[in-house]
Amino acid sequence: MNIDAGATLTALLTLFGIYGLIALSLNLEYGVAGIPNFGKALFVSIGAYTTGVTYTRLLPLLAGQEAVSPCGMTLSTALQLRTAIMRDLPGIGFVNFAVTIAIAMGVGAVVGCLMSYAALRLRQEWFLALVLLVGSEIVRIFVRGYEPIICASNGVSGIAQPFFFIRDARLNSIMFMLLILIMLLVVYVYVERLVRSPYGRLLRAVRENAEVAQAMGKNVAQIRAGVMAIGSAIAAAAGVLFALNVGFVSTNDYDVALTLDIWVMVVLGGLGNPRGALLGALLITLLDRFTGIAAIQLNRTGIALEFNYFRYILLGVILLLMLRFRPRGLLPERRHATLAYQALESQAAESTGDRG
Amino acid sequence: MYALMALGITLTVSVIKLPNFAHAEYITVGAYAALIASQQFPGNPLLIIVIAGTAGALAALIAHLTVFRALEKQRSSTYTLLLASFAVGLILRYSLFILADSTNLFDRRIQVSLQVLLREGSLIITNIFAWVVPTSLILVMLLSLLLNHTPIGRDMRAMANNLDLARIIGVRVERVKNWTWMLVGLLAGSSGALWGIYSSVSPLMGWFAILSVFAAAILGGMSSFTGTILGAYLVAFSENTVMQFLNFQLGVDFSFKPAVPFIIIILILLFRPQGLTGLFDFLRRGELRR
Amino acid sequence: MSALLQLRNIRKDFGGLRAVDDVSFEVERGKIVGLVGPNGSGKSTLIDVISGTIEPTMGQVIFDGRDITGKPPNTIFEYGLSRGFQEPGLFFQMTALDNTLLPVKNQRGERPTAAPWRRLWHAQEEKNALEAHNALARMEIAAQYDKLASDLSGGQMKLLEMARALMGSPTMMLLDEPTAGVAPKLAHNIFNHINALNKHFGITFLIVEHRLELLFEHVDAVIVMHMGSILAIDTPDAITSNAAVREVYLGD
Repeated sequence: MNIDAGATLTALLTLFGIYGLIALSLNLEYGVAGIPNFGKALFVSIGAYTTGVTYTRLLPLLAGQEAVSPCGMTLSTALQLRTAIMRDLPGIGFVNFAVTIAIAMGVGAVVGCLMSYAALRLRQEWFLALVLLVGSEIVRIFVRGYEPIICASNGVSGIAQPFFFIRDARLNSIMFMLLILIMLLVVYVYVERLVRSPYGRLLRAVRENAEVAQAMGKNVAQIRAGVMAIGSAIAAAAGVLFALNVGFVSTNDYDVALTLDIWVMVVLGGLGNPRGALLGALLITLLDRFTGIAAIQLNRTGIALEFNYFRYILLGVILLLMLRFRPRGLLPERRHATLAYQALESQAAESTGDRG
Repeated sequence: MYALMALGITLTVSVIKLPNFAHAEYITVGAYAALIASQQFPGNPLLIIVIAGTAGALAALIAHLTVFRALEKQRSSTYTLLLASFAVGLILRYSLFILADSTNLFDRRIQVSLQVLLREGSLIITNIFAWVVPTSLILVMLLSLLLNHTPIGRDMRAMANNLDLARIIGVRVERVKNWTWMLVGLLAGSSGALWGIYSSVSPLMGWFAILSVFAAAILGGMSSFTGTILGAYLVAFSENTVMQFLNFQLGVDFSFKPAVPFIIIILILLFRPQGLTGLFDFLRRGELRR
Repeated sequence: MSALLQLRNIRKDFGGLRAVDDVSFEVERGKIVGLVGPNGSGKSTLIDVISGTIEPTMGQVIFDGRDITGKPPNTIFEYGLSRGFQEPGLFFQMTALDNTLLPVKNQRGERPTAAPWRRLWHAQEEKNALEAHNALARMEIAAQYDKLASDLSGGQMKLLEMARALMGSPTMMLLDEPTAGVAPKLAHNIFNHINALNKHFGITFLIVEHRLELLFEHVDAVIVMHMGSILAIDTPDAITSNAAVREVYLGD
């Protein structure tokens, strides 16, 4: 037993932060607004690919050096170049990080918007799920086959975290974890406020009955595009963090399996409740780590059984049990979420006070 | 072979009203059953296919009875059912992984003794080909007979047309559903076996094919039989021939090949959601239906 | 020129089927007008055309001096024409209060940019909440304000729909069978509410209804449709004695 508890906890919280962000975005899209985004991996991958591009193109430019093609013959030169910049010029590293996040969110928002308008043309409700699922695979296959983005199927390695300049490996991973948790907190507060505002009410109405919402003067297409833009921007930002955490951008990380993981988190935690998304993300990340550790321990004892299989089976079982017995999740949507109730209740209290 | 799998999807979507992603795993289950059977009874392809079909049918029926029926009863949304089908798929797929891992059955080809029946220039017809093609054709014909000329087939068509109406005129919906699932599983299982004879068996085989299969079903309009079969051939054709053409003429790399059926799905869903079905009417009537 | 709603030669084809054929009529401001006819006579299609859910094949719809033909439903609602649905079109997993608050126009808090900042919209929201409560009280369902719409009784759902429509401050309401599936006593109640809204706020009504006796008690004029065309437009009394109408309803 020589598992480093501190490092394990840091890694766990880092992953929780990233998954939490993605789960919050899906919770907003599906849980609140009812859009079945089965293309979550696509929007996360947008962030990751953006990271691949900025680290190999933008970073050297910011540092005042010539960008070297990251693929093929010059692969190692390019790798050394970006590692050196991240190590020696922390300021530029941070600027690059901020720009990457901004670009990723922008691209994510635009793609999310476009996808939602495509959905308008669809006839049956599950077509949208299929289009998003398939769209995400098309982009993955395209990036895997098209070299200029992230060197096709080879991927791009040496994607250093912005705290890479701190020599102490433990300290810099803790800093990165803190950065992610702060972002998670900000996004959580943001989503929570959206859900409690009249905007949240509007999204729920679109989920419940889009036709009636339209007859009540609401531009449903625009509302869906808006929420997809917000959700996709969050997912893309999480994608940047995902790539930084792995230190490597590869198309293999962003397939349907990732999308399904996120769906399990959201369904498990609670649809329409941001806290549920966080709880789901935490539980699934724990499960993930736990099965990972268990697998290592098992292999040590000499049982040659791939534990990963059990992880997926377990995910499937959890999903089925939730859908069957608690379709609204562990933390269901809260009913009195809006300010309107407080207004009514305070007025009621006043009027009874007057009488008494 | 896409045709057989796509017919299963078409049946599920139209009769059960469920886009079933676990269909992929029914195929894989069939393939594995065939693989194991082929080790027990080598050289008897018919028996192997029957066993595979039974295994697929059982998998589909059990999944329906344990999962989908309960969810349908609590009036779950399509998305819930879709998610559940993913979950069923996950469970089946990784159970097969464990099976394959413990019995060392990865990427194995179903063992059927290979004989060359006919050799003429570059055209080689082996006994495998002689099994696979006629079996597919016979299955398709049997299916169409079943649908068009038996009471259960009539009930299925009624449910596909209008579920509520079918219930009112006295179709025993639950029973027909069970039959449909078994039929769907049978199709998937036997196509899995045929595929395993043709290429090789792995736990991911169904999952890799499922989106192409959906593409075929969608291209076919998901309502008609001929449409689906035609869709399947078109998808197979575009995956191979069109890709070769693109590669040759425009230098498109072969690594993009898996994207072809996906692009078909998106284009069809966006611009012609009725698939090819409308096209037949067009040919028949000489006018486009709105 | 006191017509609030004008239909000019409306025609709607579904494939080869002509559901509405050359229908023209006017509804005057401040009136309550009934729209009746046997099943399949084109009433619901007409409601869909007026509210913008479907586009007519031919013809024009003029509302409040504006041509609204082919405009999307949300725009038509913005102009002050609100519609109710035959099946209660409530947001079932939302409370009665939330349902009622939804149609309020120009809510600042509905903009995603303003929504996270409570001080930008909380004054407006409080005012709206009190108004919504009043609207619920007017329909005698104020006590249910924090219940989910799905937990209300059938009659309460209908009342909630009216309260909700009221919050969009419409100049005219289209109602598609406001008393469908409601007990007779409550049906009376609903029509009394319609009359009260008409008197208090001057809201104009166009009502599709099957309970003719009840409808005829409360309306100023009746439009009778048959096979996609207009058979008669007249006062309730004149309609009752109209031979052609009697034939459609009572004859073969």
